[in-house]
Amino acid sequence: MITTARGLLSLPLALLAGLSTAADVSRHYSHSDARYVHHIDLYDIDNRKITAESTRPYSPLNTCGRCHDYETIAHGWHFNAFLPESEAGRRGEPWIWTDPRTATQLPLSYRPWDHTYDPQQVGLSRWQMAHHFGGRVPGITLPAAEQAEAEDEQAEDGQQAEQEDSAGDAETEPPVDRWKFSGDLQVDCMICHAVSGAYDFNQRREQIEDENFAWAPTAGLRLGSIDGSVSRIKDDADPEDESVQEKMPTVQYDARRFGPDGTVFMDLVRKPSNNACYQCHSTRTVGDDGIEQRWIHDQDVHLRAGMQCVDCHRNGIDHHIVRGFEGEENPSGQAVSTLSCQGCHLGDEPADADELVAFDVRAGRMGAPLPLHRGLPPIHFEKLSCTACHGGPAPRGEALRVMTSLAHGLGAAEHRSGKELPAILAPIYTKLDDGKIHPHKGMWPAFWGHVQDGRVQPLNPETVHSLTRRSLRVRKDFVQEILQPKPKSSKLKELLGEERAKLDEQEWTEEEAAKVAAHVETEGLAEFEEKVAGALETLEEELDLEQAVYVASGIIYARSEDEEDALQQLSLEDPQATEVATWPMAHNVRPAGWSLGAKGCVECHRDDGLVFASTITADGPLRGDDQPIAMADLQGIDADQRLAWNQLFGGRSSFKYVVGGSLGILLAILLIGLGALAAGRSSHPSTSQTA
Amino acid sequence: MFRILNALLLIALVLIVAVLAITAVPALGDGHLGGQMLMAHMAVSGALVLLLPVFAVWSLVRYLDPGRSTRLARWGFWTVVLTGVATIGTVFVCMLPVLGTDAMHAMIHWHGLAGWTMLPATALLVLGSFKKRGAARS
Repeated sequence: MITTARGLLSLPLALLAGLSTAADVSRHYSHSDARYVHHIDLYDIDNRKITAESTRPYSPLNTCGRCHDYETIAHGWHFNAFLPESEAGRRGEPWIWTDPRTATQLPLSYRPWDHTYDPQQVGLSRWQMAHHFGGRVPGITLPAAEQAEAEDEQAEDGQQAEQEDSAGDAETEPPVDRWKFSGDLQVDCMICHAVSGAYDFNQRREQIEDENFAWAPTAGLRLGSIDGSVSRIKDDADPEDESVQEKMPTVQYDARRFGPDGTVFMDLVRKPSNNACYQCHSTRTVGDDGIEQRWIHDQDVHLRAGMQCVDCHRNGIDHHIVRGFEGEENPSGQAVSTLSCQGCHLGDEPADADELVAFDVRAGRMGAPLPLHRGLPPIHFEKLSCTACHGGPAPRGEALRVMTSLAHGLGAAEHRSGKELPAILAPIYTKLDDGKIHPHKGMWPAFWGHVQDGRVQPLNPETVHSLTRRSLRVRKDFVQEILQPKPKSSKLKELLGEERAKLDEQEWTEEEAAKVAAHVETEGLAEFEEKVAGALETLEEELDLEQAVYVASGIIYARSEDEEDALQQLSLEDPQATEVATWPMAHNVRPAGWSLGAKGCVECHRDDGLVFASTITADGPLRGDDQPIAMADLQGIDADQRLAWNQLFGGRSSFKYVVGGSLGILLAILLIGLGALAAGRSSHPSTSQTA
Repeated sequence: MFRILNALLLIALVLIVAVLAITAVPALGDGHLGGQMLMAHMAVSGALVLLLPVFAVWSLVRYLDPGRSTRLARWGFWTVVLTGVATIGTVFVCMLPVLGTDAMHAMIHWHGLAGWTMLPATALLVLGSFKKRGAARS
């Protein structure tokens, strides 16, 4: 009997969990700094040894887990995002559920990070999250099966209760759960540990899109070809049914990969290469002319100096990767302060430390230079993070759009213009919980929801798409098809004249282009009102909601109470839905000469100093109210006080001469006094002696 | 006229030192200056930088002559000048691209000590001046 992909994983997992610890002496290790050559047997998801004739996919758990403590590794930072008991840590980039057809960009996280929504509350199952985002992460560890089921039930109950509260007798679908067909998305060790360029991330992505989770590691390593797609199997199919089992994907292994003894050479490294990190951690800036070309940018100054990502972002067997921010506590208990900017360059020694201070808090790790910050008042270290001046893209007058691997799937070969959702902006100079200004990336949520207890509760984006398909009538892209409709040729002739209308738009004059753009905007907004009002009505009817809304760029749209096919804007105190969701960033670190303030105080302490005066404008499928927000406002700095400071700094360089002159006079007077004292003593020696 | 100017300069000095001391209170202990207090401290410190040399030059002859001032006032005057040099000097070097962060921390520490010492020095100066005037009246 063929068992399902997931069921068979539970036994070895349980065995491993029972047997292994972080420092497991029962395993066989080389314990050498030299690379251990991995000619190893592969084991499939059913824990059977793989031969060239096998058809089941290889399993990292059953293969790598034979010698390495998979269970411990699987709880590391990169894999524990779905585990409720894992540490939330400092907020990072959320999962942004993006659907261009419904103009959705919804920040999600199982970690309780500010301005993110819990996927369970939105009605998204773990399987849906894994399917949507699995191609951008190196593996997902799930809670214990019973816990996951309980949580899914809870999510279902929560969703039902929520809608019953608001709407009476709503019917909800159970959360989508196709693990029994797709198998688990195991931690794929070779994504990071294969030698640079040996792992095919795109093959992995394709398998995950096809719902072939358990087959992704085999495809990524190109051990063979995969035939079949789990996505073709219906939800209600019985995995025990033979006809269903026949539809399950099969592997045809590349016989050349197997040695005479049946082993396979796994060409791997202990320290992952930068290339592996880039698969999920690339960022591209989008300028006025689209995605900025790579050649105009420098790499992070540390990489330029020959370092590797993993020199700072280290981990032990527990795979709790050091994130590298000040004040970080690694779950391993190991002191990691000198793997942050400040700790590495300035040290983490207590103020009263003597020369016997422990090595692991001293500055200068790996030869890090000690910055003197000559002339920089120390208060800056209390108000600013290191990265505020040294990290992220060089600030300009306005925060620009950026694209990331996690949000935009960079790495997959696609046509991109830079305008694709989600609209992420950077750098945003705002404060974190430590009260310091850090550079951030950020985005305004855009989603469909309903009003509940004075707040907007997002609806399941998949449900929204299926219900609004008819009313929105968007094939691929809400923005292009609704907000920027192509003008009809008759309209173009009316606007530009018969001859000019025939020309390619590149040949239009600025005035003509502006005329057409104004027409497109007017048409787009009219279309938006009509279509969105229709879609909201559908959602209210189908889901029995009191008031459905669409949120974008900080504005909440609901159906107008007075007019048909029109919208009104709601004023709700709901910062989670309407404010920018931000998360700090650090890279790329710029060289000291390119840091903010390198040119002196007035680089920042002037009215147009970028760290305070650069702006951010709400962006997304819609531009919102188009009112730029100054960074100083985000930082909560009083505008008048800042201007007063700038006045003080305006004359600072001349004031230095005044202070120098004042000191000169006072020193001269002191000298005169000393001279007089000496003269007095010499003329009245007896007086001075008796005194 | 001479006396009025003397008195005006002394009153201005006392006021400036008092405001500087008040605005420096948040820095006592482990605290640090910031926001409105720091701005006020910086603005008034500019006044001290201008006034102290004027006051010192104006009063120099008087405080050099034991016959024209009391011992208490002379002690006060020279301590004010000395602490003034230390207070202004420690900040002045911090304004120049010379010192690193640790040295600047040390300078700010010494700035605080010198600044707080200026307070009793100014008090001595005022007491000495009153004593002189009281003696002159009697």
